[in-house]
Amino acid sequence: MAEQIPLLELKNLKTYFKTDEGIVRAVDGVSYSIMAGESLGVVGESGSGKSVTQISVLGLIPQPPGFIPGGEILFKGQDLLKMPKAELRKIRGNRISMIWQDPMTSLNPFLKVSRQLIEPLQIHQNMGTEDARAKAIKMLERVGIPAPSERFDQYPHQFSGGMRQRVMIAMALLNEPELLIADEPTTALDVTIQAQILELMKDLRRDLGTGLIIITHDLGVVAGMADRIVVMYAGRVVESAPSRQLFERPAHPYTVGLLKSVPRLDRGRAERLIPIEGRPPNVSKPIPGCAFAPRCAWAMSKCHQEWPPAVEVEPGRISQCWRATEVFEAELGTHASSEKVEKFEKKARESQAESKEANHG
Amino acid sequence: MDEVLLEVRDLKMHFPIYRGALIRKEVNRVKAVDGLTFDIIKGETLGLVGESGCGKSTTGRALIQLYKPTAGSVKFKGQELTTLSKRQIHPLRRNLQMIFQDPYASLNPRMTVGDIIGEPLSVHGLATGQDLMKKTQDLMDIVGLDPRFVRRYPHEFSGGQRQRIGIARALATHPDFIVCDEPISALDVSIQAQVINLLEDLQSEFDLTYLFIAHDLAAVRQISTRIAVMYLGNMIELTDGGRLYERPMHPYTQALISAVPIPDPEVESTRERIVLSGDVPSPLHPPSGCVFHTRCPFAWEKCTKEVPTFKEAEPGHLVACHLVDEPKRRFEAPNAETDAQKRAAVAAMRKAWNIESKD
Repeated sequence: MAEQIPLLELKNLKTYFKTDEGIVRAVDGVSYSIMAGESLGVVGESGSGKSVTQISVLGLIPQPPGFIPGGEILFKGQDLLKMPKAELRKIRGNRISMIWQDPMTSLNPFLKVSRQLIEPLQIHQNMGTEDARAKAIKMLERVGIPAPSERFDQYPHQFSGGMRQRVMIAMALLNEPELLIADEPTTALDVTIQAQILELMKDLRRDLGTGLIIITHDLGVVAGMADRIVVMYAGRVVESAPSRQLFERPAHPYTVGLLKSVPRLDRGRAERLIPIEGRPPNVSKPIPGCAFAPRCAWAMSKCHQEWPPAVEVEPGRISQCWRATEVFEAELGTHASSEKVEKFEKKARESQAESKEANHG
Repeated sequence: MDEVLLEVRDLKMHFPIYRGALIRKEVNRVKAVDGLTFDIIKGETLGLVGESGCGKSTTGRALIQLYKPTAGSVKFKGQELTTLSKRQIHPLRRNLQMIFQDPYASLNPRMTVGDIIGEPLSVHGLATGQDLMKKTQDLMDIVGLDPRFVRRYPHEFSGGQRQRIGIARALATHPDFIVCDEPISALDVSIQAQVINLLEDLQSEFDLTYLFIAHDLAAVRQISTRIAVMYLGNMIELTDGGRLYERPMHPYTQALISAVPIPDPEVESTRERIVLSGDVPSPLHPPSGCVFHTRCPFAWEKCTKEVPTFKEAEPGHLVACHLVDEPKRRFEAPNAETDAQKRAAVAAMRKAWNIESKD
């Protein structure tokens, strides 16, 4: 197979913010890529940098206080960071589109939906008003808005939350982008409406072949939507893998912890959930070692001192952990029992204590 | 025999809408809660699920008389609460506490953590001076906060820790009953499990009864003994936690459970999801008959006219649905949008009623 150029490739991207309390390293050396037509899930907790990464891709980081001290954002081989603003504008909203989390605040309440939908077509394709209207109405119909021609000239407040998110999706797809970035597209929605929107996004992707980056904290959402998953923690990628493999056999202790701490509806009640103890770190202070080490059962003294290299545990799978291979070989995926996970974590802790003693002795 | 702690009968909570400046006239009512009948058993956790606007939070607040119910009765240990005056209810409040959703908005930013947690103790005259300080620090210890931080302010704590402050405050007066209103939905995934475990530990240690309100069905399943499902101000199904997930009988519950994404790509790739069409109707103009009929794949004429009674379909399993009396209609889903949707809806119904599939 010929070497393909990824649709989007991030190389060691860094996005920092200057604040009164020091420099916040929101994104601190993130690398991953997505191929054309692929869907990539980005999972992480609040403050993990998953959204800031995407906002950097779109060139929408407010500068100051934000700045990008390093890295590359390659869209089909072209570095978006080095591109003149006028060039970037031709890509943003056209070849790369975005769906934001909150459909309440991301539509302009003063403008009719029609005006907001026609705008991208007029700007990027120089389309006449009539043609743009026809195309936009057709797209509204495609995303499942009943009576689209009547609703076309209404204001956003006249739509429900789910319908507003459909309008957002229609707007993002009008220019047939090659890449769609969806930032928590269903978090603000109720679960039955979430199911509608996720089904819609799957259908559209199948029909249009759009590449999709879906950012979420919900492991359930990525399980159904993503071909590949990137797990982020404290501004860094800790693991990336094809979806099935990630759930079956995670290679990073944080991923193991996430899988175990989330209750699963299709299984009986767990005797007890295994939470990840402690809390996410403060990224406004430099973290010398692995950011997860203070919460990690597997952590060794080295973990607190040195950021681990990327370990390729099997082809196409990367884990940033000093003990990646051990975690991977323990097979602590979604099918592993809680007892098994606890046993391995206990063993990891004990071996750690022993090696400490040996060092002192 | 199970001891009933709270007995709720035909509870209604309507919010009137007025118009006119001089002559104020009631023009409409939001029927947030429209006739609920259920019991809460001592020592259990009753989970209350439903989508936003279904009236689950209003129910929680009406139970502990933070709202004065429009109609109906709430009895706590046999004592009627709805007829009590503010003064009469005050001493009872120490037994009825609440944990709020938003750990940022529900703590006064100008009070120290010690004052926040100790306030219920001084309000109810349970402790003063040195004793108050000691009791406050004990409470902090119980919920996993460092007692040395007693003089700090809420902004110095993370979301999960703030939720622990709210929990300590609710525990202070040794209540019998705590309404937990979405206590984990504002927290990060890795912190949610910590708080669920804490609530479970406290329940067994202090013999607490919870009403656990949440929209996250997996979390509710984890913590609840029994679960009630609400839709548009009505309770539509109530049964044991395990049973509700294995054999949901109401078409809405079936759709709700099938809509929850499962964190397992293998399961997700083979699941047939029931996707409900449309949105939840406005509680200002609820549909006639069964409130769910506008979105129900099974609805027929009767559903548009008659309100189904909330009754036992099988022992310990209450459902408000006409399908309980019409077994034949369980295998037709005339309103399903596609054939796949029809199959999924009927399959869920077969599973619920333990009927072997023909194919």
